[in-house]
Amino acid sequence: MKKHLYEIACALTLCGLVSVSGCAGNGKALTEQIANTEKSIVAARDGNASINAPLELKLADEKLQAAKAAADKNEYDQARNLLEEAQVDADLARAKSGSAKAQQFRDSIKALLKEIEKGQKAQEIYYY
Amino acid sequence: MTQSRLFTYFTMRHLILCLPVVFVISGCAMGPVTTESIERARSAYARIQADPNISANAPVASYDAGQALHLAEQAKDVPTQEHLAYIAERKAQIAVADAEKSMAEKDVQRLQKEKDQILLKSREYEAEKARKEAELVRRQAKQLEAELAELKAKQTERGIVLTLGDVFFETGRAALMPGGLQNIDKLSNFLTKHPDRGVLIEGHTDSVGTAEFNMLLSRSRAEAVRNALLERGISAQRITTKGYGESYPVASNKTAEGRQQNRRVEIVVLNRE
Repeated sequence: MKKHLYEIACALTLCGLVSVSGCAGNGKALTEQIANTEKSIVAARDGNASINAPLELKLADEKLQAAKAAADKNEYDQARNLLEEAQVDADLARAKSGSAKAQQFRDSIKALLKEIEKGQKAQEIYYY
Repeated sequence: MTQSRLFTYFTMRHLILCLPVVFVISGCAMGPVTTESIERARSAYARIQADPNISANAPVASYDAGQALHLAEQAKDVPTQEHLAYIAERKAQIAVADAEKSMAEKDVQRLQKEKDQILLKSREYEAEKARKEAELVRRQAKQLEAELAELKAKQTERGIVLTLGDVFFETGRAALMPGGLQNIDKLSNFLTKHPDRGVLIEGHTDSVGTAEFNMLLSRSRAEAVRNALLERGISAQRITTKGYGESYPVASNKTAEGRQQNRRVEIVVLNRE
């Protein structure tokens, strides 16, 4: 009987220790991760992602909110996973709008070049 | 009582002891799983492998995508794999977008250079055009000078004056002689080349004979030149004739030489309007 109680006590203490230490460490790291993901989302939005990659931006935002809710319920693993996904969503939104911007710029220069060349040809025909 | 206690004790003990064993067994038995999400991640990564431009233009992102896919492939349970595969798929997409951005930026640099070159060429072309135009004006002036020299014309305030002496007319008559026609040919060539110029043809005589006759003679000589020009295709609108008779001598009528100088037709090539 005594031996039995001892074993239970041991197991419980161990469990408690693990969960408590987990909580403290996780909470801090998670807060930092949330802040980083928020920063990435803001950066993507500033980079015009709401026009060039609206879905990725929305997913990132939704997952960030879900991660915060999970963290409030102490579901740290779930929160971490959601944050990781929100992070790649935000990164993709930023990459996509960066790419779209560069391509738009390229296309406008191409059009300009075409106009210049057309103008020059007309001029040459006129003078020669 | 004893039985129940024994049961509890036994169960508890076994549960605690067996837990790790259960974990190890379940882990081994399942092995890497294959979900739909890993398929998506694989096909996203396949795009990077198929297009060498992507890894060349986004090497780090491409490497990260490969690593993420590798991790997802190793996942031992479905939820973990779905999570890791999602990340791997996104990373592959990021690599593609980064590469596209980088390629577009390189295109922009190339196009800017091309644009600069075209503009430079355009400026050179403008300078060349100006030079050519100046050259043309100079050549035209030179040509005009040469042509005028050929006509033995003089540049005066009224324009270019060319004098046909009486050697080109029979005495007392208005018909042009062949020697005079040669000069008319040169004049008509000149007028053809310079369609913006007109001519004023003025007939003059010496004082021999009556003033009325001389007036008529001077008009007839001017008319003769006009007709010759018309025959050579010069439009009548460009030609004006006038007879002045003996009233504007250029030399004395007392000597034969002076009278000869006074019997003349002056052709004024009018300046451009």
